[in-house]
Amino acid sequence: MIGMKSKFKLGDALLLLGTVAVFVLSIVLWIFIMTNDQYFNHINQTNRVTEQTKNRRDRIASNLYIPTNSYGFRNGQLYRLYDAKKNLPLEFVKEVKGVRYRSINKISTGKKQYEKMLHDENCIQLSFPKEVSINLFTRKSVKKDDVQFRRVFVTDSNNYLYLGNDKTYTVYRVHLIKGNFSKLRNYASRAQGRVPVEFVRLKNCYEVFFTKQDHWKIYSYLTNTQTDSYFVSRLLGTTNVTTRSNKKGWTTYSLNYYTNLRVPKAKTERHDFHYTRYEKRKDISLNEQLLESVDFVHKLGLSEQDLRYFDTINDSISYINYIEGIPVFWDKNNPQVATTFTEDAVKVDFNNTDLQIPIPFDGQTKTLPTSTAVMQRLVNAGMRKNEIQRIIVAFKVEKDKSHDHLVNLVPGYYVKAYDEWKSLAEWEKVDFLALNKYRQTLTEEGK
Amino acid sequence: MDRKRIEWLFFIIFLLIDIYLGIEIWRSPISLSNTSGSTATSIRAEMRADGIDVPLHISHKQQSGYYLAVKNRDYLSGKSSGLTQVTTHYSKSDNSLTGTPKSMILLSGNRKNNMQQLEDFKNDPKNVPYGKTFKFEPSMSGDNTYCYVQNTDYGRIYDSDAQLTINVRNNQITNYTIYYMGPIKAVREPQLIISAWHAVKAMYTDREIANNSRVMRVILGYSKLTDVRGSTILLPTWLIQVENKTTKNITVKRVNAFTAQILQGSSYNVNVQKN
Repeated sequence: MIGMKSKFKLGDALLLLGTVAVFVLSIVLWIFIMTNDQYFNHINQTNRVTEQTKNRRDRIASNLYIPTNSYGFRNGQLYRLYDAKKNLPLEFVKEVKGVRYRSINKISTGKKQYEKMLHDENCIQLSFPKEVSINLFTRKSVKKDDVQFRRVFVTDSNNYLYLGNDKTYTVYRVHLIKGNFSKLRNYASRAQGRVPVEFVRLKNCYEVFFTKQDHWKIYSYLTNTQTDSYFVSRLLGTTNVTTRSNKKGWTTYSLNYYTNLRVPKAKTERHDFHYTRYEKRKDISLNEQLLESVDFVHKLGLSEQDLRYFDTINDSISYINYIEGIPVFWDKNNPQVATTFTEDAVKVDFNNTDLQIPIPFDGQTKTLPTSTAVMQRLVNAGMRKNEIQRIIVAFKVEKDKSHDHLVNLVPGYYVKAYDEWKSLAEWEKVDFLALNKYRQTLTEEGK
Repeated sequence: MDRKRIEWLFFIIFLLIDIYLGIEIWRSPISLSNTSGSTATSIRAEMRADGIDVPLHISHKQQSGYYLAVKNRDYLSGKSSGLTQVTTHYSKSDNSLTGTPKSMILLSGNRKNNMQQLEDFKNDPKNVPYGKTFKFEPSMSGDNTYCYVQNTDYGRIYDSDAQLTINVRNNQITNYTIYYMGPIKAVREPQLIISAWHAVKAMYTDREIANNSRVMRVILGYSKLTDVRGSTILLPTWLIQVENKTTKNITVKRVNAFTAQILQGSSYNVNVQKN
């Protein structure tokens, strides 16, 4: 009788304990979900306009913030991969679209491990011109403390992606759900264009150095130049716009005291347009700033097909057209669009000409030296090696005399140093003695 | 006893809640697909209000497309000598070749068998030059006219300069006319293009779809853009077939699949008598 009673009581106690346990567990799980912002991505915005703007911004951002180059190994040699029929970075973007992210973990922060990853022959690498964050790339709040990366490593596994940050030597492992990169691997293994390269550590990143003197193709494009009125109506509207010209060759269109567009007069044959909107700087993160700049880029109404995020220098975010993975500089060294967020204004500098229609390659090439030779030339000219931030091959736009709207994209070396982009020829003209002295004074004053 | 029942009830309810919450956390639903559901729905509703019918299953998926180029040459004039089973006439003015079978080719009368016989006919290099590069296009064909368009590694070309039309009368191949653009090459690597739905939407917002009409078919094909440096440049376009519900007229309009702009002056009417 006593035994039965105690058994009965034990069952009661277990039931009570179980009920309390499941109750407490449900509260814990609920709190976990409520405090995890990933789950709030699904809450619908009540304001349709905001939602539409966000969707549009996401769609445009998903074309602007994508990798521009891919690399892979064959027989121990690293190659820049290119295929005329398959755009490898685009394939990666397509394959990543259906992916869900489970977790992101930092797996190493050492230089040695990072370089081991860089030289892993089983990986296909995709690189961005400049660090982007995982939340910006996915347009989702995947991780609270946003992870910055410049390189994506696609291994043999479909369950994981690895992200690399050159600056900090950090490698992150991303656990995926429904990842499948088989097409990318297949295309990369069959890529016809292979240029031998190596990674060389510069100031803040591993730069791709071209190891062979090579003949680079000169491409041609038909351009499309938009008129002043096109940009005036897009940026300022169609009413209450006043016009003022000055003798220096500029015309300024103003909507009010705070918003204006300055354009070069047609006779000057210049194409640099400047839009300014005076407004107090918002206290927003770099990511939000990058996304906000997308709105301005889209507002211009230029072709966004080849436009990619290129660089951020101080507060200026630049976007450049990429042709076959090579950036295109207008005039001397101007990007297609640059948005600058200062304390009291947003400035958008842009070129009013678009690369519109590609023309078949006609066999013209230009021979370029190796990247190492270029670096040596710069050092010989007086540039400090530790000030060299990037050495890249880029196209310079040159007019073709045979046709009004025809331009040639001539390849050449461009170098970023002292936080400035210039062509190799321009850097070679710089008085480095004075520049280095000036930089040193600035550094000492900073101390 | 009642207290025990209530305890069981609580236990089961909270256990189910825990399982549900656990599954939710396990799924970690961070989807990357940027659905613009509300936008799509509202445009669809607006179109419905304007009496415009759109197919239900129209793709929202972005694909990739190329700028293509072809050298402007005369590819057909030298082909006559090899066409031993047809008598030919080459027209220099429009660079076309017409062939008439030397012997009578009777078709079986059954549409399916006819198709196979025509396929065999066009694929024989003694009958039709470059015949294998042409694919049947039902939307451009009629009872007695079988239309084929030039196919490439990148997709089909929809242009009068890249067409093969086989004429049939009384179950007999009477003749054919072929326009061939030449071997096609990609000018640059592929780029993302807009989805079929985006193209329809662009056409609607540009007021290119009249009220009280029906979007019948949306297909991706290459269209001529311009001639430069002795080459013709082609670009990917969405060809949107729209039928006027009252007059039953069918118009095909083209949307630049890179920029979502309508290719002005490229639309044409389809006059097809279907079986």
